[in-house]
Amino acid sequence: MPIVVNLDIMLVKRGMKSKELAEIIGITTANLSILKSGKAKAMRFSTLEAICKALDCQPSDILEYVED
Amino acid sequence: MTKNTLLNIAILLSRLLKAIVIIAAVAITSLFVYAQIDKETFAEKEIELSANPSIMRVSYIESNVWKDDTTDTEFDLKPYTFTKLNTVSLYINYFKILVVAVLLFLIIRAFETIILSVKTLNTFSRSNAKLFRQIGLYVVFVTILTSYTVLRFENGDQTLTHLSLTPVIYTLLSFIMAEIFKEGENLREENDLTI
Repeated sequence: MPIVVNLDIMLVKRGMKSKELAEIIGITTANLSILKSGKAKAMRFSTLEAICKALDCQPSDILEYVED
Repeated sequence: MTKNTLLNIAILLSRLLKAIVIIAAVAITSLFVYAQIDKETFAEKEIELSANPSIMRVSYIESNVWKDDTTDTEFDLKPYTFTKLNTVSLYINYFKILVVAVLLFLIIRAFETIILSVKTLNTFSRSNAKLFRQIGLYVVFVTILTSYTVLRFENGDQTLTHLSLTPVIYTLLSFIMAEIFKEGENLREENDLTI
């Protein structure tokens, strides 16, 4: 998929663990793992909003378009 | 609750139908074996193919009787008795009935598996789509097997050609259901992978 989720980079930048983020935004660690691994087919605006709020960043910091 | 009751009834009916098919197959086999052992019981029993035409079904029976060349006699008055039935014809028809019974059993079993998956809330899965396609194929095989029957006797034969629209509708429905379930599986997967 040409959309890459840079969640790992943002987590390192903010010094936050995956489990912590999952708890804050209210999703399971399994779902967060799907999101990080790029297996997710879609992302809800509400999830994106919660991630941006928790990591104090913009959607463009998390999502990136890379041509195949 | 209502859904579960209906599903339980459907599962029960499927199991009952499976049992009926097994009993019928065993009964036919027993009759077949008995007819081989004690030929006298069925010796004068006349065999006649019958057709039940309707709006959805066209049947055609052709019966032929010929003179026995070896003995210079007239036409056989009772050409369709069990003793005059050709052994190969008897075996072919017996195995045909058995194959149809096996196919019916597989259709019912596939249907039961689908209902069980609906009950366990795993309705839209690839296996269900595959099962519907299998049901469609089994119906095609049953239709092919039952559309033509030939009984050969010593001095005659009977041919039944049978064309029905109902299995065609069932086959189409099965394949359509397979596509619906495949699409359902895609939607479920997309929903599951939406975070």
